[in-house]
Amino acid sequence: MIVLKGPQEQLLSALQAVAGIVERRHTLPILANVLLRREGDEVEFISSDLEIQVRTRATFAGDAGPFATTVGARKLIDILKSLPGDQVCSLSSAQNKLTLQAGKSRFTLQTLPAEDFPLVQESGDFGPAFSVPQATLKALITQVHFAMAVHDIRFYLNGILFVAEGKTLTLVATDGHRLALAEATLDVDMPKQEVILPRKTVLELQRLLKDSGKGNDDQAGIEMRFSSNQARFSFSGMEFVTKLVEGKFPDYNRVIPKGHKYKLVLGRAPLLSALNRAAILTSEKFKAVRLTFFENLLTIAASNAEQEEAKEEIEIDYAGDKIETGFNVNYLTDVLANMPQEMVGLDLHDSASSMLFSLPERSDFKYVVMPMRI
Amino acid sequence: MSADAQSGLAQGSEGGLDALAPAPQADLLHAPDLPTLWQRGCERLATELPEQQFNTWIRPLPAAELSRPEGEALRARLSVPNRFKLDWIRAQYAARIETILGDLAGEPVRLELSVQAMAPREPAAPRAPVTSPYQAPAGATAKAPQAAAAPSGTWGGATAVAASNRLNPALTFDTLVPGRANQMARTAALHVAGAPGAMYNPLFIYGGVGLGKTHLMNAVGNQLIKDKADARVLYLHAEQFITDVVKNYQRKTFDELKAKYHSLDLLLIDDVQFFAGKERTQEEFFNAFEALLAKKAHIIMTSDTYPKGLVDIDERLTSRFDSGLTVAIEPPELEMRVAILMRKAEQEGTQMPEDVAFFVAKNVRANVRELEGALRKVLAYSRFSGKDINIQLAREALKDLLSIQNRQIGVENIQKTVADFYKIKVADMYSKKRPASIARPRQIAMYLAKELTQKSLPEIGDLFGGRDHTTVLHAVRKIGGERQKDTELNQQLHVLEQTLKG
Repeated sequence: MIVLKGPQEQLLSALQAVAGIVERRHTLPILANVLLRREGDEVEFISSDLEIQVRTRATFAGDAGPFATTVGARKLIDILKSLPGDQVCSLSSAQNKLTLQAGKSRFTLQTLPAEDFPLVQESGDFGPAFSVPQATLKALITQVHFAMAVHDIRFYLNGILFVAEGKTLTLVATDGHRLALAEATLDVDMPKQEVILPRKTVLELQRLLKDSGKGNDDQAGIEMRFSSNQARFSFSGMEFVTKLVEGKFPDYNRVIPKGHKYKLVLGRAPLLSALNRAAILTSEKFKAVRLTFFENLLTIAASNAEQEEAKEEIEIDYAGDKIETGFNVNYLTDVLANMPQEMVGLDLHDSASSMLFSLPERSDFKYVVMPMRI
Repeated sequence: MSADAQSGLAQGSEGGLDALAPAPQADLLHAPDLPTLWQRGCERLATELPEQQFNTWIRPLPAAELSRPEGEALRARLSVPNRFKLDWIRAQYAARIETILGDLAGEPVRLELSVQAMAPREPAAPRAPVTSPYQAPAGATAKAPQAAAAPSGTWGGATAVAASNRLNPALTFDTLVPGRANQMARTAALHVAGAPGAMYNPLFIYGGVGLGKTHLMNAVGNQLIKDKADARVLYLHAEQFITDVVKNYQRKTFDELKAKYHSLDLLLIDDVQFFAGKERTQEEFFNAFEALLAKKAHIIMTSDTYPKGLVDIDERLTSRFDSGLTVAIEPPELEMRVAILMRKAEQEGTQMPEDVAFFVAKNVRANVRELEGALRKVLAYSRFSGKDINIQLAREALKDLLSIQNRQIGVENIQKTVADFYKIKVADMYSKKRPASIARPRQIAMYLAKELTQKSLPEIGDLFGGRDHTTVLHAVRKIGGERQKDTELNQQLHVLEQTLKG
């Protein structure tokens, strides 16, 4: 029987939407498959890695009647991508195998029974739903995601903290050496909810969320709901359910230092490019650069094990004491590369203290980075 | 940046190349109360472990150093004075310590043990990184500076007296296993400890190697100090005394020498046989001896043979040695060896099943040191292989010991050694000659052959010129009985055994 029939791009985009979380190596073989489920006019595509589940629907022609099966996601995508464009594809099922036919090509794939597919058990205690424009969430994530720890034994740092309180949504990420915080305003008042989203979920969301001004509905929103151990996101016809990271995220209010003595504002792009250049001659292991703030001058110095040196100078508007501090250059370039604004504000205190990045005249972004001893 | 910026810096994510130095990158998140983490962990551990165990293994350790390499767990580095302690602590306590520290810190902690000879405690060198809030200063839980005594057992309350009396506090009457072999000597020592200067002055203890003479001496000293904290006790090996005399001689500071030795309440000299030929030393010792006896101070000496058997020592001295009480310590018999093994195993914190103790005791006969060595071997074997202690394991652990014993002590070897000792020809061993001067050594050789090898009576008989097994049996019984009554024979046999066992 014909499971579905439709244009190649439509099938491909549905699959690509859900297949982002499918791992290459998995504990259960069925996790490599995408669950196809027809109900009436629509076909559901569901994928899972046991922590995250993504679901999307699309309308396809096909034999009526409910039907469900699972088939290899990656393989299907690879096949569809390699077909010449504009094909009409049809998927038909016979004897536990799925046949994809498009133009003159015919592929027969093994399937696994749909009953075996591990669907997520939705928890019962979801809080109220709230929405933000996709572009807003995407921007927030972009501003903080690089500060997440990658593989820290403090597992609660391998993700982003989502705090919804009152009319503010705050995202925080840290790896113990630097911390990024970004805020946005909500439409409605929210009771306090605080969850930690795992790293993979965050990165996948960032991949799927639409930027503003892409010719799509500018108001394309994303609806979020949190429970004690799950989070659910609905957007662009997709539904995302993810497990949360358990643990106590550090209290970012206490961590962000206040009372830095000196402030200055400088251009982001020149600073970023100077740091990128200096980074070439840092040692692979330490990646340390020395920033020295003189009156109206900032010098950036780097050297490596072969005694090679780089030195950059930037004019700044600064009238404070001379401050000389070492930093991991990646911690600095990360933040500068992920903010679109033209000017960046720096708060300094002394040679042994952290440095605070912010946006001039705004308080919705903060980035603290701890120094290195050199 | 110059090259010195690279040296000594570590980035934990690179696999801890320079795991000893703190990471240069400062940390942002402040964990609760880390400087006192080790202290609190110790307090918790102290409530969990038996007091003696805690005092032996944990209390003497310097505070753990806490550090956090990049992206990794909090790491606590513990310095242990020697390899043996490190292995023990790792096997017995490491897991518990990690759990406790983890609970208190609120996050997982990894424990690292390293061997670092204990130096006198001093504040940590100023190497704290820029803004690391929890580099636990090494002196945070500093204990009183330990006296420079042997790291193996000295802890707590090291006073000036302890430093100079050179006693080993681990050797006390409580830790000495009593038995028939050392009963006399032990009783005498107890009397001396109870009433020094009164009875049995001087006390002369002699016996073979590794039987407990030094232990007994130290026990008396420790007991005296316990009863009277200001007692002036000095334990010296004869060699140290000789060196002392020579030194004072060179510097011509005889007064110092006299002051040091004539004012003691208890003088303990180990292995006086080494005074042989040292005339000046003997003279000084004589003076000290007389002075101490005059003021009713007590003297205890040990040697490898009885006073009359000492060579090249002035008769003045040997006769004085005889004037007090002379006691011998024998090699321990089977039950005593078993008791010693069980006791020592208990001290090491392990339970040794009785049958294993019996097995070891049967095969290791020479002296207590050998027993200790065999015990350690078995314990180590069991620990390293993770198996329970049973006879099979003991057999495997001691297989070299056993085979060497059995191999080397061949009957031929025995015959040769005994023949040498009694100045007869080896051929006489298997001849039919009957004069006592030959028959007796032959019997002794047979006795030793039965004792020290696994051979059967007929086999031994064969090796002694085709003699009947009953002849051997008679010799064994005769010599075995005689050695109980004849000290000289006993002594000779002892020497022979020692010689054969190498």
